[in-house]
Amino acid sequence: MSFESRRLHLLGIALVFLKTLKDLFLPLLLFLVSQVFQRGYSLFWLITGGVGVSLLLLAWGFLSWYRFIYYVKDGALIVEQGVLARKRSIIPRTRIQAIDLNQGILHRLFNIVSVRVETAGGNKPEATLVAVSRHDANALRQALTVYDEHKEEGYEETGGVYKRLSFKELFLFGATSGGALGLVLSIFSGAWALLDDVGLELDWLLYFSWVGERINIVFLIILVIFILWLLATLGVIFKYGRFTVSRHGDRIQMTYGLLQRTQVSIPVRRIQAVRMVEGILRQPLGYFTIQLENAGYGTQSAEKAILWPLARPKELKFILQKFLPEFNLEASLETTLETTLHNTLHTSLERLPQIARRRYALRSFFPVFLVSLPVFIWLPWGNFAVILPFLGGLWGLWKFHDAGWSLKDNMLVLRCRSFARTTVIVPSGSIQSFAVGSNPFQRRVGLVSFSLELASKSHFGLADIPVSVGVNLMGWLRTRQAKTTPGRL
Amino acid sequence: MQSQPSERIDWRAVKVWQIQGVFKALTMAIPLVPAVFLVREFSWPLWVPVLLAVVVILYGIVEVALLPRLRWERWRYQVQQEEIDLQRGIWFIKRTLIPMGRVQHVDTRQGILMRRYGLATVIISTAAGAHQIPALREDIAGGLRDSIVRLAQVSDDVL
Repeated sequence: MSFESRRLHLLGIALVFLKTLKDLFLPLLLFLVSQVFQRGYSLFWLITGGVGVSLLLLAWGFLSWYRFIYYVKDGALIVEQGVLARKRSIIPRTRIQAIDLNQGILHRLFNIVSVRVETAGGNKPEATLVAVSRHDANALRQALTVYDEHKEEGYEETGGVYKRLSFKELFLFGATSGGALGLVLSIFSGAWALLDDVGLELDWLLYFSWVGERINIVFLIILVIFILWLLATLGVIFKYGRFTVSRHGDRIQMTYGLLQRTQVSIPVRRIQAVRMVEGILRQPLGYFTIQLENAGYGTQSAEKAILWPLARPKELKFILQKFLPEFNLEASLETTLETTLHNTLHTSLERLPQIARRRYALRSFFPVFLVSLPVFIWLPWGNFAVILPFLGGLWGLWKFHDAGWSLKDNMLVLRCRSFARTTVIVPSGSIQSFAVGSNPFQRRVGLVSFSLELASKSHFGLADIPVSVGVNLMGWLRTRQAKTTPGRL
Repeated sequence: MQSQPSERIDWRAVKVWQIQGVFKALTMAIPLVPAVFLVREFSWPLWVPVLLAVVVILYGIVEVALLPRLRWERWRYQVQQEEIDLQRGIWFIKRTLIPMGRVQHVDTRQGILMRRYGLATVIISTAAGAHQIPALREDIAGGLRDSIVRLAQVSDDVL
């Protein structure tokens, strides 16, 4: 399919204008202030200066728009751009991992989209077309889709299988996101630094009795935390609102966002693994997030593609069957996976040997111990730091308790905990390398650690499995590899 | 663990690593200069540079006399039809398996030191990252590179 050379939507000029204005806002402001100081305040200068700068920026926006040309030729997307330095990028369509569509508020007013083309390797999108009409975007997508088996009809698609997040689920997803914790911590540390700067030396006993007298303050703090939590929840709701997932032939597509709509479209053969993440707040409620390990996204983007924000164990089977049958495990394991996801009892996953228990506890105990030692010695109230290493040790036991693995045909199921508990399903074909290793202490008790790398630049592994299991896993990968041809699924 | 991979790397790797060890120790010795200066001009206690020197010398001994030999002793590799098998490590002994179908491209690389000894490193890249077989004889490295490429049939579609 051909796609002739064309420019972006005219709104592109406005978008470049606004972006440059945003980038230059601080320097411009500084310049303005310094001018006002030097020459005194003059309405005439302000207006002519403002108009002049705006005109310059508009001209810049126009030039960048004028010079930005894209087309598809010989199966490659070609983008030519640059006002001062010309740049020409050629992206073969076989290299394209995902084509994402985004809509900001301005975009929605004019019914246009921003198109991001992602390739493997590199951490940022290979090409971003900031303003493309809906019609052009669809044409571009079709021209770049390797298998032209389906026609995509913009955002709210009706074909294929389709699932939408309810508001209740969305709210719960936001409320348990833990984003509030981050906000609270950052604000507290900010306030702390401020107090330090002011040079306020706090007499702690006095301080606490003072607080005790004014219990209202405590309520105030609780209120502030509550408001922060509400804000974080709202943030997540706006970001992931109206979440839908759909499957069209060889592509899986997620669309979300209340104000800014984001559409992520991933070829199924690029999906390296599926993981179920049970956040600390979500696990007790029996919910987890299903994420995709996608080869197109670099390590930089902290957000893994979310297949489904908030799932219950019961839904897992349905979701995998409907949207990713390639990752559907055999029914037997599936049902056990369901039960193990909410029960903490591991019925189907194999567990670590008991000798590993002490090692897990110590492994988490010592680092915390080393960190809290100076706290204990030098800081006032540092005596309380005594409990920290023991909390660390408990955390290690928790990790030990949750760790597990299972082999089923060509799938490896692996579970471990850092803070959240993560269960990952890895097909043998997406394992890029597999390593088994041991240190002298492990060798003495016959344990090894293993880790595997995926093309999504993630790695998964477990410490302290028995040597025999390590050998089994290697053997499994060998035989699987002999059976599968390059290019998995 | 299973039997080790069959091939060893070139023994001259030990020499290269020893020379590199000397350089590492020399780099570590750089802080000695300001330390001596501080002792002379600002009458800092003498034990500061002495301690530094002892640390540097110990480090040098370990890096020259001990580690290269052990490292070479442990390093094994084997390229088979379906996989590449690597073993290395002194404290943490690690065995890595790279499925042949996952290999994206293979390079050989030579630093100045390596070239002086006629050695080269083979670098095997997958979509997840690179793995190295250090210090093979040039012709062996070249042959290995070519045979891995042939076995992997590096193609564009494979990720």
